[in-house]
Amino acid sequence: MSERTKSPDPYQFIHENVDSVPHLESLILLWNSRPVGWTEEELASRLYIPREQVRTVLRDLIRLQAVQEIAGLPTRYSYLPGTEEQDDLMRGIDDAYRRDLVRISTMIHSKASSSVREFAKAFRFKKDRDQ
Amino acid sequence: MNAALYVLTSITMLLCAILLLRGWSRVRRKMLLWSGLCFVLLSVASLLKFIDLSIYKPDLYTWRLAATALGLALLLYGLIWESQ
Amino acid sequence: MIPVNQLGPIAHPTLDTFLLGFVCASSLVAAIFFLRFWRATRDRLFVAFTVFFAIEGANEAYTSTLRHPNVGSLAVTLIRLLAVIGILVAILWKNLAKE
Repeated sequence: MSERTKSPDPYQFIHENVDSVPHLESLILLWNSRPVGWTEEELASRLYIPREQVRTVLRDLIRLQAVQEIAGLPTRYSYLPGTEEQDDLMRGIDDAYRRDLVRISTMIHSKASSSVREFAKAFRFKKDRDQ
Repeated sequence: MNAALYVLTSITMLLCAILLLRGWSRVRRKMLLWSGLCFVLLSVASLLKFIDLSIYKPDLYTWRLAATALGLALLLYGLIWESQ
Repeated sequence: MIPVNQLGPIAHPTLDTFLLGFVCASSLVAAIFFLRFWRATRDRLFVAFTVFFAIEGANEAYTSTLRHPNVGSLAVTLIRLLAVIGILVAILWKNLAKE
């Protein structure tokens, strides 16, 4: 995951990068079960969301470089290991979600929809500027 | 003055279109696609207006309106379906 | 610019009026959406788009009252110019203000 700050704040990360509660729960699930790979089917039934939504979630998590695709039949997805900093961040996120579920869900739900935020982001000339 | 307005509008709409379609190619949010296409059509509409001002014979008014209407229809489709 | 008394008759009055109405209504709806997005994100870019589409809608409504809709007027031109410049300013602001 692209990180610039020294001590990454899980809440800030979630606020900036996590679009929905299933996104967060998938990420935490894959983190906790690393390096196990899950199929779309398995994730859908574990998280109680439709497969279509799983696909969107995985696509976004891959773009965040948090998840990797493992080729095979069927394709599996697992947590993409990164730096020490990234591990600390994930531990922080896992912890925060355990302790503070309601507040984090509320924060995620009160964000403007990701399409709207992506619309605004599209007008930045440079790609990796963060707000 | 008029001509400058329409050229400027056309270029601005095109800029918006390029930024939005570039954004769509990266994150695949449909709203970016539809709004990008809208701005393409709005750019075309402004261009038609500019041509209309410069060349007397064909009256492009209906075409300009049609392009604008189509663009806005696509925009509304994107806004309503995709913005949750 | 063609003098007004040399303009041809309006070719498709019914279609033109319909399209004009459609464009006016759609522009206003789009403006309302962008207004909502501004309230949700506080991003000034959406203000620029709200203003742009609101002016577009108002323009089309005004144009429908003219006898020669293809001509327009100076005031209309200036207001539209400001709306377009508003968008450019908002985009530049977004990219330069964080330096």
